[in-house]
Amino acid sequence: MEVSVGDVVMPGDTVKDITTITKKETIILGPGLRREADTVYAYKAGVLRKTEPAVYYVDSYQKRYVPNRGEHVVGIVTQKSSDIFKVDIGASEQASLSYLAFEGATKKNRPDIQVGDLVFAKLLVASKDMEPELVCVDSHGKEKKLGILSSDGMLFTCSLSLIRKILNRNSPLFNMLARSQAFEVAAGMNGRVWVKARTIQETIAIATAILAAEYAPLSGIKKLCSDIEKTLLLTQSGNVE
Amino acid sequence: MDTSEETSQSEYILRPMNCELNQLSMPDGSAMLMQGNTAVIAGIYGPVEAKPQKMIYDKASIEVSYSPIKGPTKVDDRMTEMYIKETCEAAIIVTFHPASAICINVQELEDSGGMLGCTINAACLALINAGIPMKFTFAAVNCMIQEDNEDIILDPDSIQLQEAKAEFTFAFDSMDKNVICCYTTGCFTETEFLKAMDRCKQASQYVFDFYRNLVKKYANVI
Amino acid sequence: MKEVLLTNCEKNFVNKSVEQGTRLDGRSLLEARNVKIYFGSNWGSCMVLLGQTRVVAQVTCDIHQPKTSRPNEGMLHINVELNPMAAQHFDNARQSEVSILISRQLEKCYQDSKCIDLESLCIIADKKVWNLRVDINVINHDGNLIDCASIATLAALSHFHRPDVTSNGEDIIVHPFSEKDPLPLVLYHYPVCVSFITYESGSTVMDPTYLEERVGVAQLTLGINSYRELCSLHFNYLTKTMTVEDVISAVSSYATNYAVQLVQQIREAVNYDVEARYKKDDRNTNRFKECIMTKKLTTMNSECISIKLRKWSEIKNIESDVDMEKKEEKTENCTIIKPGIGSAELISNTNISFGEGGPNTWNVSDSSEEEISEVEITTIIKKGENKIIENIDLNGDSEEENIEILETKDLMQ
Repeated sequence: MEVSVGDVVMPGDTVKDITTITKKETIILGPGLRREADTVYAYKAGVLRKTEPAVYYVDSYQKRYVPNRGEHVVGIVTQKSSDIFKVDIGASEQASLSYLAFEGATKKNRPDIQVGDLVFAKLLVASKDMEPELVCVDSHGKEKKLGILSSDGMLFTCSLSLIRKILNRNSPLFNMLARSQAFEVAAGMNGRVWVKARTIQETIAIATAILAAEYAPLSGIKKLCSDIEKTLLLTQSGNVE
Repeated sequence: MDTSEETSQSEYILRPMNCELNQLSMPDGSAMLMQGNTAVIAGIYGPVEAKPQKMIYDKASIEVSYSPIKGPTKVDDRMTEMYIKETCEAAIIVTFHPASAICINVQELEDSGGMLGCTINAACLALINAGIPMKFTFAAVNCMIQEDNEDIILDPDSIQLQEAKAEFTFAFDSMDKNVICCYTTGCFTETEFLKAMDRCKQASQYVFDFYRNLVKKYANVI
Repeated sequence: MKEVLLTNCEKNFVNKSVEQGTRLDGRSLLEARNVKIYFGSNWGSCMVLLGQTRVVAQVTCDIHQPKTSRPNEGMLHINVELNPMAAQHFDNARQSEVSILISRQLEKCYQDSKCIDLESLCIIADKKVWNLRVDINVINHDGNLIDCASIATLAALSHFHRPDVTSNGEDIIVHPFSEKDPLPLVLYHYPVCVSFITYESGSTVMDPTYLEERVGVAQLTLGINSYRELCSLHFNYLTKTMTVEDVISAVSSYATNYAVQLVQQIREAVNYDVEARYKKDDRNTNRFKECIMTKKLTTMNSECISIKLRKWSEIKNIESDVDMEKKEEKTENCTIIKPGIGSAELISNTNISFGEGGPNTWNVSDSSEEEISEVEITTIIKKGENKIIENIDLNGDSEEENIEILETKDLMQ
C-alpha cells in the first residue's frame, strides 16, 4: 500500500513522496524506512514523519533499545575487567566502557565504580556488526553531564517513545514539574530513567509523573503536574500531622 | 487470469476478532488475540543476546516456543513452532540484527478451532508491537471443506471442524498476497485446494485491515 | 539470557522506602494487589491477574489405574511451567529452581493438605480412577508467582467439572457433556498461598513486586484456608544476612484475614461463572473476552465479519492452463512424456541438447492403453548391454608400456 507523510504505515508499505522526488536532492531515510532499488519501504509500524529539509522516518512504539551512535544512555555496570567496564544498556549486546574515558582519568587514577553502579554515558561506536562502546567524556575531555549517577536516586524503565517525547524540546513536562519540585533526572535513550529528589515520596511522585505522561496528550500534562503537586502536599501534611 | 465472468458472489463469515497489544509488562512486544473462542497470547523478546550455539554471525536467529494449555509439549506443538518460525523468518529482516536472537513465545489459552491461524496472526501482531523490522506483515486464514456438501467454510470453529473432510491454513504476505505458509490435513482435490486458497487469499485482506486499524488507533497518541 | 543486574541504586531506594513505610506503587506494606480472574469456555480453565503478574491454569482429567498403595483414590498432579515470555531469564530448556520451588509449594498446599476428596474420584477400585492434572503456565512475571499460581489452581479446581460415569459391572460408560451434566470436584477446604518478603531493616512486605522480591532478604509463604488453618509453610533466606526477625507471628493474623477474604473472592467468581454457564447466559463478565474488551487504545474489537468473496471458477482456469501449455509447446518445442501413472517429464524435442541428456529411454510399457495418446515414445536406442565382452584389447590405449597377460600356469610356478 502506498503511504505519504502523516499516514499510519505498516511494514511493507511503499512511501509515495520519496519516489517522485528528483534525483538531485539528497534524501535521508531515518529509522523505520529502508531502500530497495528505487522504492522505499517501511519496516516498522507507526506514523510516517518528515523533518526539514528532507529527513523521513517512522515514529513507532518500541521497548527494546537498538544502539545508535551519539545517543546518551543510562547503563548498569555488570563487570570490571583489566581495562574496561562491561555495561548493560538494554540492547542485544553489552557495551564496553574504558577506564580512561572519564574526566581526569589516568592509568594510575582509576574511576571509583563498582559493579551495580549506574553510569550516564554517550555511545561512541554503535553499529549492528560491532560491540557498542561508551564514553563518559565529550570530545574536549570534559565530563559535562556524563559520569556516575549516585545511588541515592531511583531507576525505572519505560518505552523509547516516551523518552523521545519527554526529551523533546517542546515538551512541557520537566518545566512544569520543576516549578514546584526540586529534582535531578537523567533520561537515557535506552528507555532507562534515573530520578533523584529530596525525599522518597517526591522521587516516587516524579517517577509516576513521567510514566503517566506516556498516555497523556500535551494539554493533559499541565493537569498531570498539578495533580502530582496536590497529592504530594497531602501526603506531606499527613506525615507532619 | 481474467475474472470477467465471475459476477456471482458468495457470503462468508469470519469469526469476531478481538485483540489487545502490549498487555504483558515484561516482553518487548505482546499480543493477546481471540478469534471467536480461540484465544492465544504471544510475547516477543528481541533483539537479545543469542546463545553461542545458536548464534548466526550475519543474521538474527529466530527461536519460537509454543506452549499448549494441557499437558507437556508434544510433537504436534513442535510442528506448530516450525510453521510459526518459517513464516516469521520470511517476514523478519534478519540481516538488521546480526548475531542476536529474536524469541517468539506463544501460549495457547483456548483451542476452539483454527489454532494455527490464530497463533500466526498473534505472532505477527506481537512482532508489530515489538518494533522488529519486517519486510511485510502476514495474515493467516483457516478454512475447511465440509464432508457432505463439499462447501468451503471460512474460519471454522471446533464444532464445524468435526464434519470436515479437509482443513487448510494459509498465511499470506501483505504486499503481493503470496502464500508464505500452507498447512493442510485431510483429502481434497487440486481444484478444491486452489479454490480454498483463493478464498483465503481474499479473506486475508480483512485481517490486514484489522491490523492497520489497530495501529491507526494508538499510533498517533503513544 | 541472563537476568538484568540489580543496581545498587534500586536496592538502596527500595530499602529506604520500605523503612519509611511506603512502596513504589503506593500500597501500604501489608496490602496486596488487585486480583482479577477470567475463565475460558472450557471447564477448569482460568487466567489470574495479580497486578501485572499473569498465570493461566487448566485442569484436565483422564482415567488411569490407581496407585497400588491407594487403590480407591484418584490422583492429582500439579505441573508448573514458566513460559519464556514471562521473563527474559526464563529458559524452556530445563526445569529451573524457581519452577520446582513453586511446584513443590503447590503440592504441599493442595495435595498434602488433602483439600480434594480423592476417594470420590474412584470409579472401579483398584482398576480405574480419575487422574486430575493441573497445568499452570506463568505468562508474565511481576513478582509473587506462588500466590498467583495458587489462586489460579484454586480457581481452576473449584471451576472444573468432570464427566459423569456409570458403571454396569465391568464396563464403564463415560457420558459426554451433552448427555449428562458434568459433576464438580469435591473440595474439603479452600487453601491459598500468601507470601511475604522481609528486608534488611526488618520490615516485612506482603505481595511483593518483581523489584521488591529481588531486593528482599528472606521470604515466607503461608498456605492458609478459609477455616483459618495453616496448610503449608515455607521460609527461606534469599541472601546472606544478619537480620533475624520473628516474621511469622508478626504477619500471621494479616495473612489469615487476607486469605479468608481472597478465598471468598475466588469462590464468588467461580460460582458466578458456573451459574452463568448453566443458565447459558452469555452476559457474564468473567470470560477471556473481557480481559481484552476494555476501551483501551491498544485494543481492537471487531464483530463477526461477513464478507463477500468472488467465486472462483474452475473451468476457466483449466482452459487457461491448457492455453499456456500449448503456448509453451509452440515456442519451446517440448513434449510431456508420462513414463508412468502420476508422473510426467517435460523433454525438449530438439536434437541438439548440451548437458541435458538424451530423451528418456526407459521402458514405457507400464502405462495403460488410454495414456498412449499422450505419450510420445522416442526411439529406443540400443545400447551395448547385450554385448558380451569377449576380447579385451589392451593395446594402444593402455598407459603402460609393456603389457603381459598372466596365465594361471605362470603363477603356479
